Amino acid sequence: MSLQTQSVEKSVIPQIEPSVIGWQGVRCLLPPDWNLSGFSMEYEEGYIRIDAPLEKAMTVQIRWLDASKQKQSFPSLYTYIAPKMRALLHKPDPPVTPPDLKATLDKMLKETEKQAQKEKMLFESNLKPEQREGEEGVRRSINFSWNGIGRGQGKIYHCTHCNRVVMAQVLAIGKDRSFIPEVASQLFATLQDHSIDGRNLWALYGLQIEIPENFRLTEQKVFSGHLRLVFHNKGEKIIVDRWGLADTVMKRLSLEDWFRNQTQTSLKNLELQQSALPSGHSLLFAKGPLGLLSKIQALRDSSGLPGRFASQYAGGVWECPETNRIYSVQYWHRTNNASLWDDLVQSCNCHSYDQEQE
Amino acid sequence: MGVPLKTRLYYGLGKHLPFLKIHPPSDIDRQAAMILRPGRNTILTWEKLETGGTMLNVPFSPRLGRLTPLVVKWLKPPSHRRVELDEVGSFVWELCDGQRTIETIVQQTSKHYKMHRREAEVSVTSFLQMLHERNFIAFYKMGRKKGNRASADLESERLETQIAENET
Repeated sequence: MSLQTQSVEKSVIPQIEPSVIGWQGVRCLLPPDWNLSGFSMEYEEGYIRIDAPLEKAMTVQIRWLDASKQKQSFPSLYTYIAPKMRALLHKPDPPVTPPDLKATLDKMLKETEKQAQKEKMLFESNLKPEQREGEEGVRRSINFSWNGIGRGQGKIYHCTHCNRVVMAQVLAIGKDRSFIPEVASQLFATLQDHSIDGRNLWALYGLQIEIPENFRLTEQKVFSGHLRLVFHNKGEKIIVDRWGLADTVMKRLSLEDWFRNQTQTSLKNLELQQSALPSGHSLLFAKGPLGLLSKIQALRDSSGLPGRFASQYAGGVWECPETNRIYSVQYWHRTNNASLWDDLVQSCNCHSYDQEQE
Repeated sequence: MGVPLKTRLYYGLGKHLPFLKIHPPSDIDRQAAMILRPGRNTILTWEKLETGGTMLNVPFSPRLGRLTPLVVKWLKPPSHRRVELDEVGSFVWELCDGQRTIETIVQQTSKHYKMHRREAEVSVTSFLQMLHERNFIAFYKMGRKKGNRASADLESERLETQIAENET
């Protein structure tokens, strides 16, 4: 009894906001409590899977691939020389032939049909005619639905802005399939396939941060209670961490001790400072030149290119009591990129202020 | 005995002949697993610690063979081993009363520690699996009622009788 009352007292404000998902430039909004459950590390070609809470037995799958790479079979001498010759002779690039959406879709549907046949189930699919959508018709899209092992409703489109072919579909395996149109309409209305203002949104399990599009994800840790995303770009490195169970951790350690233990570089020569974030949280941070050992490590990471290796460090940590989490953003950079860390911290959204006000 | 002879033989021989071993069904789906009700092994005693954790007192299994009474007499090993659960583990342990389903435990843990539901599910299920492997808990399909005995109950009963026999 005492346990139950305790849990009610400490319970979080019910989540009414949609789940924000962002991965490799793809971003969308889905109903609350939908979470990323599968992903690939590649930017050019990959997928994500987002699962519904248990009772709904639904999944969203998003696949993307770079349309320009889809055409190339094997790189030849021509593919290397031709662009350079065109640039030398000031000749325009040849017109890009748009990818065949229907062929890609047919391939996927055939695979799904095969699976249904294995289970001895009927399969039927329905394709709508190709249409233009988005601002100034930047997208050519085909809507489709199928019925076999479960039911699916989706869309395949080509975005001329980023030259990506994206296939997104909502699948329901259980008996209750009434939610499919609702989820599909929310997904298709909010789905974005490229960066906005040169920044990609990375959002999963309560972590939301905007990273410049030239940084590539190189490592990830998605554990229960700890998320880590590591990005690299020409010798520079960004590490974003999100830790759960902050109240339990903070019983044993102060935020400063915790930061000194967790940081990837020595903070001996750096002075820890405090400032306030727009969310009201107190940010503990350190900025300054890297120590000798850290510089050697940075030089090694940058493949020995002296002009590219990071010589400066900026890192900060804050606790968000509203979500019971600790967030940390660290950035190893060259001397001319000092302001990016501030932008990263500002873009990291630990909790919704609207929710707090309610 | 409720267990059929063939199954008992398979269990017995399976220790020495792995290909005969009866494995649990591998196709238990997520939904079916989430309605199971974990219940604590009645042979264990436990106490709350000031740190928020829980100390479990686990009696040693006396299944060491014929030399056990002699070893016990000469070396006087402790009768219990102590296992300390941290704060979160302790919270989950207290919810394992044989009445709550795994789904309920996941929801309560998620609410209490402000974790994402999926995160809580992964943590709680792996923790429960670990407790089950050590025979600290058993999973019930229905709520624990009179006459509804699970394998952990049978195991604890067997241990109790063996301890009593050794003591005499």
